[in-house]
Amino acid sequence: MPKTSIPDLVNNAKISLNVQSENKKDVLKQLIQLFEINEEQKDLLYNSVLQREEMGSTGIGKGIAIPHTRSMVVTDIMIAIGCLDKPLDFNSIDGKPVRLIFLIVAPPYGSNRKYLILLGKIAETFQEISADKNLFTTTDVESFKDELCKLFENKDE
Amino acid sequence: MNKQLLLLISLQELDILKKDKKNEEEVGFELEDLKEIEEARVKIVSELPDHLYRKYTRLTKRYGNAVVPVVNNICQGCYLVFPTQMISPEQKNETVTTCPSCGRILYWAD
Repeated sequence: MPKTSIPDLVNNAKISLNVQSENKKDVLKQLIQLFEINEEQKDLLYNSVLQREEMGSTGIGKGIAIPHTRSMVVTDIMIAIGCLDKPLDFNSIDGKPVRLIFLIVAPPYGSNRKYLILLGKIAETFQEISADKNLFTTTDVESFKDELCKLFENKDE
Repeated sequence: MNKQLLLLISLQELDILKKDKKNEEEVGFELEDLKEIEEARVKIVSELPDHLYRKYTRLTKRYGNAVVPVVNNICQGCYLVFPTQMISPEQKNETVTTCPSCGRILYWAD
């Protein structure tokens, strides 16, 4: 099994640092738009992400959400990251609005361990920090990636 | 995309969600009961022709996954390399096609 490298995934992630949205569905749609897939595939992915959200919010607290799904439309793990201009209600476990969203999509076939390990590492890392602390003050995507990679350094074992 | 293929993909993605529930809970996510997912599944099954649902069920039982993507002309279920002339670009995902080797239902992902 290939090693799960979060910095590699972060470096290849699609990132928007000024997402403007008033509701959860719209922000998910905006993040899916960042992926380089066709419109039909975006619709499939959107439905899959929404169905997962119906099973339970992926707002893990502290202003962070990790919506995720496994979908036929991707051939490898893909990530889109959005920083919201205005905090948004995401039905998070702590009731706090969300400012940082990690959308993770993995293919449905093959081992699901890589995907689950990634989900676990991201959730664990963010449980130790808070997006409320202006951690991501940069408006530059490359600097943002660097900050994020530093956060995950100790978790990427 | 062919409507029946779309339904088959949606059905499989719902089944994967159900299967992942336990693993996700181990990672720390809190998931509720599967009522909405079950209702969505019943709706999809009602829209699928019987023979395709039977095929889906049979393939899932045999392989664990009934629908697989084709990437670079390779079936991601059994890794058979398809000849380029097997299907024209216009026909991809416009019919329900099965792999001539493993019989899984194919979705052209690229």
